[in-house]
Amino acid sequence: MTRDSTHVRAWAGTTSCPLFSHLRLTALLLLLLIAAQPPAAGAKGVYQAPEDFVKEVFDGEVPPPQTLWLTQDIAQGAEKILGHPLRLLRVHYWAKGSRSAWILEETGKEQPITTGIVIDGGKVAQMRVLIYRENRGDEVRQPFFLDQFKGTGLTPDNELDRHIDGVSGATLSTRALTKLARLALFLNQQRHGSP
Amino acid sequence: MNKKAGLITMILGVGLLPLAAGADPVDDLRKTVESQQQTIDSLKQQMDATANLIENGGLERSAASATPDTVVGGYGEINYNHYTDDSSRDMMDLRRFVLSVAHRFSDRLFFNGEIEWEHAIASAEDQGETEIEQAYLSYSLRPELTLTAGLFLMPFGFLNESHEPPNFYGVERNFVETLIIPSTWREGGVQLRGTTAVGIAWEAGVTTGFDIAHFDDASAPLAASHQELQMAKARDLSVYGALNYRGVPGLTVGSAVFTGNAAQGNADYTADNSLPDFAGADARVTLWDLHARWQPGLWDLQTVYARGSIGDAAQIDQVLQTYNAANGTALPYVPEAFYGWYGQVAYVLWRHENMSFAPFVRYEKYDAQSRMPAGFSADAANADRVTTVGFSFKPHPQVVVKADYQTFQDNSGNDRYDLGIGYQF
Repeated sequence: MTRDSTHVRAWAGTTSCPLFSHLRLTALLLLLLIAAQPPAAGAKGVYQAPEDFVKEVFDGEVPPPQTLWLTQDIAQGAEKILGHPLRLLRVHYWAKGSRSAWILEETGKEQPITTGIVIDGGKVAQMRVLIYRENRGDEVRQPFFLDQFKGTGLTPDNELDRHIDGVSGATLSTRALTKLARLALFLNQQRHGSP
Repeated sequence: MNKKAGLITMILGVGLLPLAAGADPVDDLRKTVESQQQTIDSLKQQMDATANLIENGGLERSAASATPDTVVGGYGEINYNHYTDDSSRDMMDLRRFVLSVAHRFSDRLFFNGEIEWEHAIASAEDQGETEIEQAYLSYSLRPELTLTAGLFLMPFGFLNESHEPPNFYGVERNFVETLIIPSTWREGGVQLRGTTAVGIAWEAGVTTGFDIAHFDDASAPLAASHQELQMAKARDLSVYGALNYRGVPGLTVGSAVFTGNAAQGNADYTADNSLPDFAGADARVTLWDLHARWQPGLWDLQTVYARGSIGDAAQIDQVLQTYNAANGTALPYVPEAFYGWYGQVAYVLWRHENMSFAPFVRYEKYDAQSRMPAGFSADAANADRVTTVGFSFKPHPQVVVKADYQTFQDNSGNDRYDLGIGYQF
């Protein structure tokens, strides 16, 4: 007896449709009801547009963007931090006084995570996930995780000077954000006039 | 004197000639600087345009939009086991080779799929398997709410959802999360998943369940009766829910529960009355777990407790006993309850750039037949207390070399050394 005919005969043998058992139907309808709410406008994993982040960092008085050209030394340093080449010729940033803002991206598991990082006095002052594109692991965008980076600096080996506790089930996203913090600190050191 | 005067006059004359002609050297210098600044600005614009061309093909694109919509990944492991009491059981095996595909249809809609090959060769004559481990569509209703439909992993324990070799300690997957929680456990259905700003993640779904008529291995009650969406009987669907708290970095505490009938309308007997007749049985399968993980600094502490039950086990086993006696078969008997738990401690002892070395120790206790119906006895081989001591060496965060030694307190003939390599990309 083939599996197909087994399936057909099993269905024909029932006297009531099993799909409509109380508990499962209620659960299914509840799920669909919650899901049927109209999607939130702009709900595409974009938590803040990069330009809005920069505006917020500089209280609306955004300095003109500057360019850090990736010389060989800088490119090599960036590659060591990321574990792969940084395929850019230059990085844009905004700076006023001792404060600089960077918009950087690194792939978590499959998709890049766009992150805004503020460096002040050679330390991370603020870190925010601007666009999160992965399916899972978005706990890493929450303040309870990102606040760990505040006040971190760079060791002579270009490692963070403090341990960052990860989020279980989001190891690759955690690693990506840690790399971005290191990269921002490193690039800030390379720019002319950085503290 | 006249010559001297003439020379001085000439020098003064040459020097003062521009002044006499109305020229201003400071003004000239200013004009030269301005001209050079214009040249520099022009060169900067040309450099920016050139860099744009090289980086983005002349378009203003971020690295994100340059990321392909389809991403291929995978993981795999090759393991070696040496049994200290009986080397004829020694084995080296390509345990699994998995390819995954993730496709982004839009910023909200994703597809994820995984295909797995086990034991190198899958054919009618070989023991390998080819299976689809995951195949689901995921839609982001809002950043903190995702709807998923298809074949997806169940959120129990840690290993079931995070089973790539670099992500767990031990060459072999632990017994609690293979024999009690049937990793890699997946069901077909619909799932809603949400996260909150305080670190609570929740999940609920309606899915296919188990088929008690397929029960064929007393050592792993749920692995013996899972359907894996292979023409899965869906007369009896199941529901599940999971809750996890990750609001403190490095800490995860959670629980999950799954329940649903597994009798599937006695479909096999209805189709073929030479098979056991489970009429009147619902065979409700329920599994719940508690899990916690804490990773302070370089430490990694983890524990899982899982417990399951199968309803109407007495009735089902009576039928099987009668059937075995009448047909000369040895179909295994269904337990009423089964459970397992483990505690594990690991520590990253050494790190250098991307490399790390972490020893670990794990103690686990499991019993796949912790309660049998009256008149039916458990097989001692289906319960044990296992201690595993070993290490993971990572030459890269996504590549691991593992070694460990496992002692089985109740079935010491299974004591073994294990070696393994694994990767994920």
